[in-house]
Amino acid sequence: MKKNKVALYYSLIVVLLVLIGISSFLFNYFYNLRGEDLSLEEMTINEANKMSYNVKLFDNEFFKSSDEETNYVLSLVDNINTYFNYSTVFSSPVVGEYSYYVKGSVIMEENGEKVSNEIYRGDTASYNVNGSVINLSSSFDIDLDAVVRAFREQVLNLNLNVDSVIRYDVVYSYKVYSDELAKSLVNSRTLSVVIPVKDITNITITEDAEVMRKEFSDLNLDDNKLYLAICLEFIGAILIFVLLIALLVRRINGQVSVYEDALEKLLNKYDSHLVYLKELPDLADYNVLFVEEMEDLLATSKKTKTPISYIEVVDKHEATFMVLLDKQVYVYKFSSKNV
Amino acid sequence: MKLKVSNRMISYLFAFSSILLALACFTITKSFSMPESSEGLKKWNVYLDGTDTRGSNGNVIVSHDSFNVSLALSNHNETYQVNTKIKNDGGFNARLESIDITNLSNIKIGTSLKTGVTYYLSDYVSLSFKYAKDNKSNNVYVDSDVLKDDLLKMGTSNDVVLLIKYKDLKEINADALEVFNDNVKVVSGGRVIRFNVNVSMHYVEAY
Repeated sequence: MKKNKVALYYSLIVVLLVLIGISSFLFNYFYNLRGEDLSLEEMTINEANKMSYNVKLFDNEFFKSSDEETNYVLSLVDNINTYFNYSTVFSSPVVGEYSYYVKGSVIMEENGEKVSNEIYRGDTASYNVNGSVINLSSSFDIDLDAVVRAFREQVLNLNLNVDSVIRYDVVYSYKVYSDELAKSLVNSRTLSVVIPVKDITNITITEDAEVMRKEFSDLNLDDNKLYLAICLEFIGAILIFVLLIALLVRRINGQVSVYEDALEKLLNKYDSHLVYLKELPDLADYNVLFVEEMEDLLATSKKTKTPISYIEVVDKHEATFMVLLDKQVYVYKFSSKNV
Repeated sequence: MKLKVSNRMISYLFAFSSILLALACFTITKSFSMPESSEGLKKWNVYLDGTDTRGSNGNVIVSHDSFNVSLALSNHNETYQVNTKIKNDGGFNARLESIDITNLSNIKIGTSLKTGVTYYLSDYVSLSFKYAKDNKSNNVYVDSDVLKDDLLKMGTSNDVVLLIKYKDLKEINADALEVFNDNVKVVSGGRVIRFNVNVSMHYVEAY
C-alpha cells in the first residue's frame, strides 16, 4: 500500500515536471511576444493603375492610340489626351478621402544636372470614400503644341542648348481610416507622361501595374496587457507546480520527517533524565513492561530514581526509552508508526 | 493532523493551478484570430468590353471604362455608331456615379459676321447616348437623370450605344451653314468635320 502511494506520488511529480516545462515554454513565448510589433489584425490592399494616351496630330488630325505607335514628329502633334485609372480595394471598409491633381513641368538637363520648371498645376479634386473600393478615372489634355512653343521661346531667349523633356504627372493620394486596424492608412501614387523635346519624339507613360500589399494593426496597450496577463497566469501556474512537487517530496519522506521532529522534541524535553546507550542491552532475563506514554516512563524513573536509557534501535524509524531495574525493565517504544 | 492539512493544501493547490492553466488557455484562444486569407480578397473590375462600330471615317479607342471616338464626317446624314458593353467582373456591386461625354456645344466652329451668332459643333452634329438601365435594354438617353445611381451588379453588363450624326441640311439654318462653309475646308469634294468625342463611365462601389 505504502509502495503504491509512493509510486503515485512519483508519477504526479513527473506530470508536474512536464507541466512546468510546457508552461515555461509558453511563458517564454508570450513574454517575447510583448516586445514585438506583432499585430492581431491584418488588411490586404490591392492597388492597380492604368494609363493610356491619344495623340491628335495637325496633319491628318486622326487620333492615334498609345497602343499603335510610340514615335511622333513633334511638330505635327497638336494635343495629347491622357486617360488614367486608379483603383484601390481594401479587404475591409474604410472611411476617408482621396484626391488627385495634375501638374506639368519641363525638365532640362545639362552636364548631368537637372533643372525642373513647373509649367502647369491643376486644381486638386477630392472625393469621399466610405466602403472598400476607390475607383478613380479621368483624363486631361496636354496642349503640346503650345507648351513646346513656349519652351522653345524660353530656350532661345536664354541661348541654351540643353536636353529637355516635358513631363505631366497625375498625383493620386488617399487618406482613410480603418476601424478594423484602428489606424489611418495613407498612400500616394504618381503616374507620368514623358515627352522628350526633340524632332522625333517617343511618348512614354507609366506602365499598368497591380500591387497587393498588407497593412497591420499596431500592438496596442490592451494587447500588451493581455500578454502580460497570460505571462502572469503561466508564472503563477509554474510556482504552484513547484510548490506541489515540494509538498509531494515532503510527503514521501513525510513520515520519517515527522518522526524525527517528534523524537527531537522528546529528546530535548527529557534530556536531563536521559542516558544515551551505545547498544541495546540483553533483556532476556528481564521482565519487560511496556508503557503507553513517555510521561509514565518518566514517573517510573523519578520514583525509582533511575535514569531513562535511550537508544535508537532503527535509524529514523524506531527509538526505545527504558528504565532498567533489577529484574524489570519499563519500556516506551517510540516509532514512526505512532507519530 | 499534519497529514490532513498537507492533503488539503495539495488539493487546493492542484485546483488553483488547474484554474490558472484553464484561464491561460482561454485567454490565448480568445486573443488570437485567424487573419483573412488574401486569396479571398475581392477585386474591382468594371470595364468596357466588346466594341462594335457602324460607319466609316471613325476610330474608337477604349481605355478601361472610357472610350474615345475620333471622327471625320463629310456627308450630311452620315452616322457613326459605337456599340459596347460596360461589364462588372469584380467582386463588388457597382453604382453609376456619372457619365461624362464631350459636350459638342463647347467646340466652336465660327461666328457669323452678319448676325454675330457663334455656332458650335452641336449645331451641325447630333449626338445621342443610350444606356441599358437596370441591366435591361430600355435605351435610356444620357440626358435623363435616372441614369445616375443605376446599379451594375457583379457578373452583369449593360449595353451602351453612342450615335453620332452629321445633321441633314434641312436641320441647319442658313446663317449657321454660311459660318460652317467659311470655317470648314472642302476636302475631296466634301466639307469634313474632324472632332473627337470622349465618353467616360464612372462607377463607384454600391452598398
